Amino acid sequence: MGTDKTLQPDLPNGAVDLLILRALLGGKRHGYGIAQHIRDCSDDVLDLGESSLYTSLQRLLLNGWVSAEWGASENNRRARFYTLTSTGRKQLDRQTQQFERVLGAIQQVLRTA
Amino acid sequence: MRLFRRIQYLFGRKRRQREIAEEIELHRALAEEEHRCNGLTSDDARHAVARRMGNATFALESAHSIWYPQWLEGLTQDLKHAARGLRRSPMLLVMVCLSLGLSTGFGTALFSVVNAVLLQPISAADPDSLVQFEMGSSNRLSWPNLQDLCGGESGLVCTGYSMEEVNWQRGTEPARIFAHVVSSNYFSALGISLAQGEFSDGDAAVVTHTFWERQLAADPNVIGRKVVLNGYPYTVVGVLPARFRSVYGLGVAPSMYLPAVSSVRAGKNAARGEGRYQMIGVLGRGETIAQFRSRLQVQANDLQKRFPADNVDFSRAVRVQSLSRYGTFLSSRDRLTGVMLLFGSLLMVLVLLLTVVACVNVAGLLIARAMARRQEISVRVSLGCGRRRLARLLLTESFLLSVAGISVGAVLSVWLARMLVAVPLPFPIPFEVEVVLDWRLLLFLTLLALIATAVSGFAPILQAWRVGIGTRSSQGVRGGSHRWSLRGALIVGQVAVSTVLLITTGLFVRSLWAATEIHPGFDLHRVVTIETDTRSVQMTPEQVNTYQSLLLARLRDLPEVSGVSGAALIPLSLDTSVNSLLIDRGDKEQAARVNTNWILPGYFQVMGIPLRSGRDFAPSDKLDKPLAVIVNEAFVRQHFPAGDAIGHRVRRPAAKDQMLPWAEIVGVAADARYMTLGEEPTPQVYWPRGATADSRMKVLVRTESDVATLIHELPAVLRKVDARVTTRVQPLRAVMAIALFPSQVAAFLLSALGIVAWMLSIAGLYGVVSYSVSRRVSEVGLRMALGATPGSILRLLVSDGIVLTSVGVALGLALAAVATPALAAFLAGVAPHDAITFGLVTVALLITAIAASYWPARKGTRLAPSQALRTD
Repeated sequence: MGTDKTLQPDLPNGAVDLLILRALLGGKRHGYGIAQHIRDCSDDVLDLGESSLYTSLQRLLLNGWVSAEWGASENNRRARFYTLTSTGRKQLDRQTQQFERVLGAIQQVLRTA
Repeated sequence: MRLFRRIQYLFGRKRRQREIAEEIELHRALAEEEHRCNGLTSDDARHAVARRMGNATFALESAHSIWYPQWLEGLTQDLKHAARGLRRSPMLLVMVCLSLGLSTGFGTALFSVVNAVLLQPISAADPDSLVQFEMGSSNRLSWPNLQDLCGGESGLVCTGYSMEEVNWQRGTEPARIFAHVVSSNYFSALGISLAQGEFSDGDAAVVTHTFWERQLAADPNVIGRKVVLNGYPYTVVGVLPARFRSVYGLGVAPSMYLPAVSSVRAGKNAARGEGRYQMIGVLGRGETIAQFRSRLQVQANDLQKRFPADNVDFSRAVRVQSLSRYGTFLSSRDRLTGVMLLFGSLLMVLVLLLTVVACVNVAGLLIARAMARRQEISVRVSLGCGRRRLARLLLTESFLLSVAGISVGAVLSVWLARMLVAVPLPFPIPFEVEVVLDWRLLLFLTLLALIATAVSGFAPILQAWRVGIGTRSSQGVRGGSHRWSLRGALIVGQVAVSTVLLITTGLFVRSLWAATEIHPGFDLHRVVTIETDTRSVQMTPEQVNTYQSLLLARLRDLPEVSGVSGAALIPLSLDTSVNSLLIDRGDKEQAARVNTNWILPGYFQVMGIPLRSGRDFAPSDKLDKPLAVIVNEAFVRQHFPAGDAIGHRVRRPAAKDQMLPWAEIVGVAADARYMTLGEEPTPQVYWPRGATADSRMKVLVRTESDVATLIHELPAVLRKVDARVTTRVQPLRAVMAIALFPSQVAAFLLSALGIVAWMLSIAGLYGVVSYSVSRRVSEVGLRMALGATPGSILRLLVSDGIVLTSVGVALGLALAAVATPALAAFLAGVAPHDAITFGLVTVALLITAIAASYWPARKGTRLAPSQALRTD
């Protein structure tokens, strides 16, 4: 935690949404759990700030891609757990493909140029 | 779905915000825990997290804004702010609600009532396919002729009706009601189906929905119930639908419909020569009136050929006209339709003017307020409030104000319209009017008010934009000749506009008063009518005669009575009789069509109709003795252009093969209205009343003293003559109520409108003047601190108000003098520069200005100087 390699990069909204959807693919998680998962999976590179995390979660709720329910956290505090909905799952597939195409294209440009 | 979720969120806004906050808090707690597990002290952990996470409030707002867009948030804030601002100035709110509310409310209510009374179509499947027709000398057809025409063999679809007064035995006491006597096919021809039961011939009655509800207690088993009419038992066989409009229009509603074919009427219907029924024809599909007329002509020719003695002139005089969809009272024959149209458009113009006055009021108030708020606005500007933001704030305020005013107006209009219609009308005939609020008009007035407030809301905005950052904020609203001249200009402008509008409204009101001023050709105000009906008592003709002469003698003996006479028909009531007349031209007889009445001697004196030449009837002139007849001036103009009518002979057409004797014209009376107030003078003939007794008589009594007292005394006198006879005493005006109704309504509505316009002008003037005086309180404080007496300050403030108002009135008068000639086409009987209107408006506005400056000024002088100086 708090090591040098941790970044709070200026990710575009779409990317944050995608990361969160992907984090929920493994099952329901609360907000902190999502942030933790993304950080762990990215070797502490991607550390979402509260603001972009919770704004993005509200946006996903509004779009109906995730659903939320209150439950107890590991330390027995009230926490809101998010689950991927079926439309969210479809959205994840679509966005992942799109993202990979764009990323591939960017890498290609970076390599050749 | 997104929208639905968004709305769901908005409803639980507070809770949802709390939930997000809770999540963020949990997030922080878990992060701190993790730090502690990594070996930091709890304090260090908290600091690390805070450093790492940034502003929690910002995160919350950012998450929240997903659901609740920024602009909406801003609007809510603006509305809250504006509402708070308005709550701080209740006077402004009250004034605006009064102005906009009164104008939109009153305008809509008036229009709704006019709409309900005049502009509702009669009840019929297709009102546009109906025509009225007459043939021969009379305006009515006899029952045998009606049956020949409408019985089905002729191929014509037509029906007949006649309005009659009936005695209804309600419990123990008789009540007089109006009934429509109609032929069997009346409802089917008009395409009306009853709410209950079925119309049928015989001693049967169909009652109106209102009669069933109010008089028969909405009896669910009303079909089959007995009602006693004119002493005979009738059976209720049907109830009309609610909101039924009779063919008369104007909301005239006879209480019941009786079949023309009944045992009671068998005798009355026998004579082919006696016209009793007014006729309605139904055009075939796609048929024109001309085509209908030619079909009718064939029938008229046939009727005359078969019954030449009774059906005189049938083939020569077939008259067909369309029946206005608004009823026979508004049919096109009369000038009344034109008057109604003019009245309708005038009313619209006045409603518009009224709204303009209200909008001017609101604009004036808002501008005054904006001037007073310059300090506040300049503070806002210097604190960095953007111009767009400022404009939005001020416009929100105007918008809120007009919404408040218009809401008051909407409520007021519903209430006023209900009240106006509930006013009991002093008429013998029941009127039923259903008021439906005219939403189109309300919408229109609402738009107008919104636009007006938006426009007036811009004035403060422009003003605000002129206030530069930091400039004059220290000066505030105090001092500065520029400001004073603006405020003065505001008062002058407001007064000038009010003057112009009041004068315009006043001219319209006076013009309509003049146009509807009643000139029937006889004296309406000094005459009382007594209708006697001996049918309720079994009397021989001799007894009836004795009763009637005794009654006339008793009435003549009364000290306050200056003349007694009688007539078969009272002009301008529902009874009319139009007949043929033959004029002796030496070698041939010339036919003429004349309005007819049968009168007793003294009729002209009692009615106040001048006798132009010749003599009145003498008691010896009887219908069946050597005959005398009196004609009117219109008759002389048409048939004796040389003016030598007296001495010529006329007679009624032969009846039943019997030649009637000639009668000599012995007098010429001035023209008087007969059927409607709007009609042109029409030839009229007065016959002496017959010696044969008629069970019904209309006595006319003239008094030079108070009519009301006489009406009060008469019943006792009548009872003394014979208590058993049904009588009814009422002023002549009341008998003519139907004819007078439209003009009375017009005069009433316009006066009401004028009063509201005046009230609005006063409110506006009062608002602006008193506001400007109250803004000078600090100046008052200074003067008082320097030793001025309350009296001198009062004089100063009031005279200031008067000077400004005078300038405004002068300006308004000049403007009005230029503008009103353009209205000349609409103004009947009133000069565009009518001195009375101009004078009254001037006086009214000056008085208002004095009152408007006096009260606030007095309040100002009562403040202690130290207090007044601090006020701003």
